[in-house]
Amino acid sequence: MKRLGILLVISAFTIAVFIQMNITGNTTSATTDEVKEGYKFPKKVKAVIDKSCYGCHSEKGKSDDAKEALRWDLMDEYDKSKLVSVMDEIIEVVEKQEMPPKKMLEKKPDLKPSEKEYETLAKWAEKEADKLLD
Amino acid sequence: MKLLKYLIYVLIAAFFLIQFIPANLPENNNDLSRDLVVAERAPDKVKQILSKACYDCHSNQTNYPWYSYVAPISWLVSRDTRIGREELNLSDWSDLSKRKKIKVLNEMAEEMEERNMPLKIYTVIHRDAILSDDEIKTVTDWTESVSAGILGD
Repeated sequence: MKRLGILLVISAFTIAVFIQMNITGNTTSATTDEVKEGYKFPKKVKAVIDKSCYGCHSEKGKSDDAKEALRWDLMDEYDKSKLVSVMDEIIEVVEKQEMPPKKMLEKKPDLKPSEKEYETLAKWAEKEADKLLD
Repeated sequence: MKLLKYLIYVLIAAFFLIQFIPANLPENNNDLSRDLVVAERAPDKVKQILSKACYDCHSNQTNYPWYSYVAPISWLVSRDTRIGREELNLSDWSDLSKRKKIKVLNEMAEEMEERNMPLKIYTVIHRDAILSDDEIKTVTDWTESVSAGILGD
């Protein structure tokens, strides 16, 4: 009877610890997720960015010029005016199809967005800018 | 020696002859109604800085000194002014959309802070266009406030 009691106490303790661990674990992961989530892109837009832009315009990019001009992964840190500027630049660059650079496309033609993908990006940027300017 | 003399004559003749090639300096225009500093009521300090460091190339109020009429300098001035106005003409400020205005203000600040502008070729002669850190801050503080105004913040 005594043993059963000790066993019960130990199991209760273990369960309690597990629950605590889970709760703490959950809270931590929820917070980090939120921080990492950053700027929200619609799926279609994100697909174009991933395919054609992210290689240079993110932490992993090799060109400093590209990274200075735009960092998709840091967009949540941009202030309002910088965001509007970036959106305007995206619209312009897409209109003239200046990006990805020709040289890059010669090496990796797969990076070229389709007309539809260009349009998706431009329309999204226009909407974002309008929202910011409202 | 004779050859050298001959060469100098040819050069002098060429110098006179090239003066007849039109430089097509971009024309000035005194319409200030759509100008940045007027439309956004820039303080005098900002006006002075923009005027001495930016407006020769980025407005319709280019100040052409006498040597800018002498070829081949005139060709260079003509080209740079034309490109400068094409890139950004602050005399047409009011024609820009809100979105463009914010980008222009942002880029003005960035170009100045990184000291990409005014161009070296310009400051070689226009020494007063080499801006101090204080002058740059005066302008960037102002561009920021204009931008915030447009954003309605």
